[in-house]
Amino acid sequence: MLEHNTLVVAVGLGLLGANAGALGTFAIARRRVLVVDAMGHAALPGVASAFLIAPWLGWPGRPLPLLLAGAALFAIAAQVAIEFLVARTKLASDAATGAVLASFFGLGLVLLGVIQRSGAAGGGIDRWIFGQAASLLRADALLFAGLALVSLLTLWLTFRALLWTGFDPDQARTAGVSPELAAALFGLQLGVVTLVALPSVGLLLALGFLVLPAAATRHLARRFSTWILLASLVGAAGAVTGALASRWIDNLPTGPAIIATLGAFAALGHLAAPRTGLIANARARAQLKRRLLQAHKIR
Amino acid sequence: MSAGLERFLTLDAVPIACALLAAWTCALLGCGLVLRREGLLADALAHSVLPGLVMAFLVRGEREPLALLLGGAAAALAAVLAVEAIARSTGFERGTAIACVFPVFFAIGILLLELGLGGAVDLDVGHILNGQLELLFWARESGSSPLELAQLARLPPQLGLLAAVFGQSVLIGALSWRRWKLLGFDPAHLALVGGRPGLQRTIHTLLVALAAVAAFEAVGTLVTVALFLAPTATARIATRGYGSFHGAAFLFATSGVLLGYGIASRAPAALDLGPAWSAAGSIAVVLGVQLGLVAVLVNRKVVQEPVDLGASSPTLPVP
Repeated sequence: MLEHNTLVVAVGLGLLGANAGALGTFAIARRRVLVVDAMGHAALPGVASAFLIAPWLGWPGRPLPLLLAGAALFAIAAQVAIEFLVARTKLASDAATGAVLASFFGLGLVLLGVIQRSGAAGGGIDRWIFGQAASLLRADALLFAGLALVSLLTLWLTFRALLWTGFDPDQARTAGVSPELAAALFGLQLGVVTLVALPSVGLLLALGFLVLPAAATRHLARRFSTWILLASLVGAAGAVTGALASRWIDNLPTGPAIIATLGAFAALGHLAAPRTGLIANARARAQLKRRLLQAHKIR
Repeated sequence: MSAGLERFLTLDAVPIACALLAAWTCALLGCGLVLRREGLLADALAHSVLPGLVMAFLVRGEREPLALLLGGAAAALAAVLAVEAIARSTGFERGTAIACVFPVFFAIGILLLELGLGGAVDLDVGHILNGQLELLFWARESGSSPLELAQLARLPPQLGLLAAVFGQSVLIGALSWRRWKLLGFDPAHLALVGGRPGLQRTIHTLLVALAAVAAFEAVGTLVTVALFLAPTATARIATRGYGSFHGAAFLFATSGVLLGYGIASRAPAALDLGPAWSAAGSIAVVLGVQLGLVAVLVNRKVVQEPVDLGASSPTLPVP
């Protein structure tokens, strides 16, 4: 049966998943997907250094806010490095992003090794890499749930402004909305939700958490608002399923469980969607071919 | 033979050789990726080969180089097909389609690993992150000549795998030098002279997948991405010619590996900071620092001045 703690964690993760799914649609439309990947990987040295300096600062244990602050600091540093490379050299963003995120992750690996070999409570940090929702404290889960609610509310309020900003900046200006401000707010929201998702989904798989719900529902929606709604439902379903599965099956890390679930949803959405899915598409083409052949026969 | 040399041959020679072979292979193939702006493909393939590797491991029960290569190539092929299917059916740009595929493949690999192997064998999460450079020591009898056949047979099999993949990449790369150059700069021209850009791209992608498998054996998934993209990105900034681009990538890869490995294995002891650091991680850090330094020092983005037709073009006389 569900214990109370499991329930709290599942609800928190479900809200986070709904959020990630909703933001993922805009991230795809605005082509900001890779930022999330870079953030996730670059956060490792931040988490590890926060882990190392926590005793110095006289904090008891390794409080989650401090680790998240470290993660945010390094994620921002990586983003600055990528922006610098793209703006000042002839590198395209793909090579710049990949090189920077892998180098930051390398720094994280060095620090991780130092932590593990020093033996000082090294157990706690491993779960950041692939996520471990079961180890979340109740307070953390409540914090996530609160942040997720605020973020969903913000998205609901700024939805129209974001649509204008993405599809027609002039319309946004006419309506008295600054597209730059809306884009900045969205970037901030994307960053916060990714960051908060890291301990449960894992640094390496944060990208999938944001992108997959939107990809799974792309074929099912024609309007952007429908897409967002469906993506957040799928995101929540995937997050809750993965969290519960990792609770019930030994050795199952939460992040991969969530991402594999979302991947199954995405595969299903692409194959079986009505009208535009791969199967429906192939059938429609076969039918068209048959009809054309028949038409030729008659003549 | 001195004790120092003895120690070096046993502990450090093979890891350095493995890291160098991995870095050279990745740098050679990464040049094409950076040039074609397909750097994300390195990221994608490095992650996507994992389920294939775990399956090969599950089926054979041990690290068998050929099985690993086959499994990795099969997984990479499946990933590329999935990317194409998604890009075609949704109209997402390729980067987004890639982002939808490789986290799923990676997650499936981790799940297979955790559930199928139960953490009982020597392929584990630590290897995915850090590689196994530290474990690739040469179990030779002390005092024996390093050139004896009996001692050479004791070299870790990963060295053979890396050497084979490196040799194959160099061979095919040399034969396709001109075609890959055209593929990078002007695929339409390549098609015009009968070079079949689609086929060349497929061959290149397959080689990248095999290189990702080999490099994974040495340095793990994430540092493989660094090996593909960091030296090549550095070289791209520092050079202008196609040949010098490859040469510089080779040099930056070499210096990154040597410095990174040297720092990881020597600095902690010298500075009294405890046991050695992660060699793979340290290599990635040095590669990143090189990139940063070169980006700051060599600052010459070729900016095309917009042609101002209004000011310089002659004005028509008003009738």
